Order: sequence, then structure tokens, then C-alpha cells
Amino acid sequence: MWLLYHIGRYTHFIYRVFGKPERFSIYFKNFMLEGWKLGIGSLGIVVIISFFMGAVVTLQTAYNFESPIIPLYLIGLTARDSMLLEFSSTIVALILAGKVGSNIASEIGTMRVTEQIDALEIMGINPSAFMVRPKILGMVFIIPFLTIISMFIGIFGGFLASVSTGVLTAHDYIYGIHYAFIPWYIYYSLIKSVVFAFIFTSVPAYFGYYVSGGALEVGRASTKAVVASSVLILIFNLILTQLLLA
Amino acid sequence: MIQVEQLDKEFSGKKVLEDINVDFEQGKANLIIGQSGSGKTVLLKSIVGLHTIDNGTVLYDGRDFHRLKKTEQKKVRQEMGMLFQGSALFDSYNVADNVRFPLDIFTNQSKAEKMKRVAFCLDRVNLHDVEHLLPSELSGGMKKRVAIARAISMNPKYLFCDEPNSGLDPKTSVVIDDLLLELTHDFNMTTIINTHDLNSMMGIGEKIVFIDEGKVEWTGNRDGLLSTKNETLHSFIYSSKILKDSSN
Repeated sequence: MWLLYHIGRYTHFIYRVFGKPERFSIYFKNFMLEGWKLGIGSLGIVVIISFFMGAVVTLQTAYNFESPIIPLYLIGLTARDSMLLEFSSTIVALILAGKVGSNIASEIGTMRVTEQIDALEIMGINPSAFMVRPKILGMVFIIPFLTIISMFIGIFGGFLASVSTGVLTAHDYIYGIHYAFIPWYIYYSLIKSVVFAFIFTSVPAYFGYYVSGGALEVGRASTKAVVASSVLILIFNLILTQLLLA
Repeated sequence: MIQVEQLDKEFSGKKVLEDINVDFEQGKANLIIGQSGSGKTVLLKSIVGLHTIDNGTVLYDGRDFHRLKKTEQKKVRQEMGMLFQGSALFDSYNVADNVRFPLDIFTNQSKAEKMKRVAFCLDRVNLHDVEHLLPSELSGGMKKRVAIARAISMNPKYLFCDEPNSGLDPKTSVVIDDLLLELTHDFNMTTIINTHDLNSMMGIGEKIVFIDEGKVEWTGNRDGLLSTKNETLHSFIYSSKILKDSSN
């Protein structure tokens, strides 16, 4: 019952979020601002974690390849496919669910408990559409760029790690990342990242929007939002993988 | 004029408002008074549509607000201004942007026209050279005045104020009360103010509705307040130590 209640209320919330805008120009301005704030503001963390994860995946693979009959260029291939298939979409989304998700839940939750949402409603503005839609669309728009940047940085991190530690040559690594390349993996990753971005913006917005009480409840909503978003990302990762790769 | 007829509201089976019948007059400061938990905030929020109602009607100059279509409700809302207890200014907007916000959404005025209106509204609430400040840089009284400026920016017909004096010192409270009364008369608005502040009741109570346990217990004005024969109201008013001492 509890789950059905939240699914029903979330669906109704999303229906209202995508209601008719009061003034398109204001929404467009907010969409640009949110895309910049949430998306570009996350670039730093995406670059840092992608670089180190690419490097670590490469080294771990190299140290586990002990058989002399396995060609070393497969280390490059493994690093590339790890980044493309899983890391740049799913792991980045999980990290952004923590960073962006808690930010959205606490921002909207604070607006709720300080009556700013009521103020919007009194003015005749649809508060869910006004506040939430630019965040969802801004992030959904920017996430493919973040995913592609993450792929490049991760593969570059692997390259630097392998060359600097001498586990394989630059030639082997570059050959490996070209070997048996399947372009569909990139589309698969981009599709996943867009779905995940929708989840880690809309779910925290939902939790923040329906907060009642004070600062304590806003904090709780923020934590619940991150947990729920992360679980949903993992579930949808499984579903999308079966749908898109099977 | 706002007429409330036979209004009922309950939460989880508990009646919070019961058979409320009251008229709020145009061009007057109408006060809803009562002790904490008496239902006055629920009444105000039911009138403005932030709460749905279980029974009854709320008529805005004859328009039954709760039974209007969403699009018609939106039109009525554009005739409303509201001052919230905590001011409810948008944190990320500066003072000018807060006051200009409804104009940006609902009017086709040029930027210069909107800024002229912002300057006029801020001038009406006696605020100068604060346009660029953020709400976090303002005092409690200044926040209330900015919120009033925002509430009147669309030239509303109806003004609602929820505890406008909460958190303010007595001197600033009088300034806010006088300002609300002056704006009510100047713009001929139907103003409804929720309060339990005795100074406000005596200062600006042109019409007073006393709510107790979700029912209208007494209606009148400031002149009849102190001489009331209603026992519940009498005990509410004379719970003030100052009045108790002066009456002895």
C-alpha cells in the first residue's frame, strides 16, 4: 500500500510538473540556469572520479591478467568497455544522485517549509512545474555531455596509468581501445544516463515537494531521496540492460 | 468582498472548522483572531485555496472560488496578494526580483515599466536603496515590507496576511499594521489579517472575527472588543497581563 501510494502520488506530481507553462520565456531562462548550475556544477566531480576509476580499472585488470596467452591489449579493451557500459552512465548517475539529488530535495523542501511554494501557488503559478521542470530538463539535456566527457576522461586515465606504471605500452592500450569496438555501447550508455538523470532529479524533487515540518524533516527527505533514487537507478539499470543489450 | 458560508474543514476525521459564516468587507482591515490552534490559519488557507474545503462556499465578489475551473481560479489568484508569516521571499532572488516576479510572469510590461512599478511598491512600504539586497541581508521588518511590496505589485483586490507581526518588536509591529491599514484604504482592498496580537486588534481592527475551537464565536470591531460580554473572548482578551492590571 505504501509503495502504491508513493507511485500514485509521484505519477500525479510528474503530470503536474509537465503541465502548461505560465510563461515560456521564464521557463527557458530557468532551464538554462538549472542546466548550468546542476550540470556544469557537476563537471568537476565527474572528471575527477572518471579519471581515477579509469586508471584503477586499468591497473586492476592488468594485475589480474597473469596468463601469457592473453594479449595485453585486452586490458585497454576492458577499461574501455567498463567505462562505456557501466561506469560513465550508472556509477556517475549514482554519484550525481548523491550530489544533485540531495541538493534538489533540500532546496525544494526548504522552499516548502518556508512557504515559498505556497507563495507561488497563491500567485496562480503551478509551483511543481515552475520549480521542478527546469531542473529535470536541464539535467536531462546536460547529462549526455557529462557521460561522453566521463568516457573520454576515464579512458585517458587508464592510458596514463598503464603507461606511467609500465603495465602495458601506449601502443597496446590504444590498440585495445580500438579493438572490437561496438558503437551501440555508446548509445546504450547515453540512453541509460538520460533515464537515470530523470530519476535522480524527479525523485528528490518529489520528496522535497511533499515535505512537511521543519529542518529535521527536510534533512530526512533529502536522505530518503538519495536512497530511493539510487535504488531506482540500480533497478532501471537492470531493466534497461536487458532491454537494450539482450 | 469575501463571503464565507457554512464552511467545514476536517483533518483525519477531526473537525477543525465548523459552520463558518462570515463576511469580510471591502476597504476594511478584517481581522481573524483567536488563540493558537483555534483554526484561524486553516480558515485563512481555506479561503485562499491552499486547503480544500469539505463543505460550504467562499465567494470572491460572488465567485464561488472552490467550484471555479482551474483557469478561472488562476484569474482570481492574480487578484490576490498574500503576506506569509515568515515572509516567504525567494531566497535566490534579490529584493527587486522578488517584487518584480509576479509582473514577469503575468504581465507584458517592458523591463522599464516593471522596474518603475517595483520602485513604486517599495516606496509605498518605505523601503529605499535595497533593490539589490538578498532576503538574507534584510531584517525581519524589512522582509515583511518587501513581502507586502510583492503582494501589492499586481494591484490586488484581496490582501491576506498570516500573522504579520510574528517575530517583530512592538514598534516595528505598529509600523507594519499602519502600513497594512493605509494600503487597504488607498487601494480599497478586502484585507484579511490573521493575528493574536492585541496591539493589532486595537490598532487596525475595523472588523474582527473571533474564532474559538473552529467556530465563529464573536464578530464586531475594536470598539466592542474590550467591552464584550462574550465570556470566551473576554477571557482571551484579558489574559493579557497589561489589560488585567489596568482593569484592576
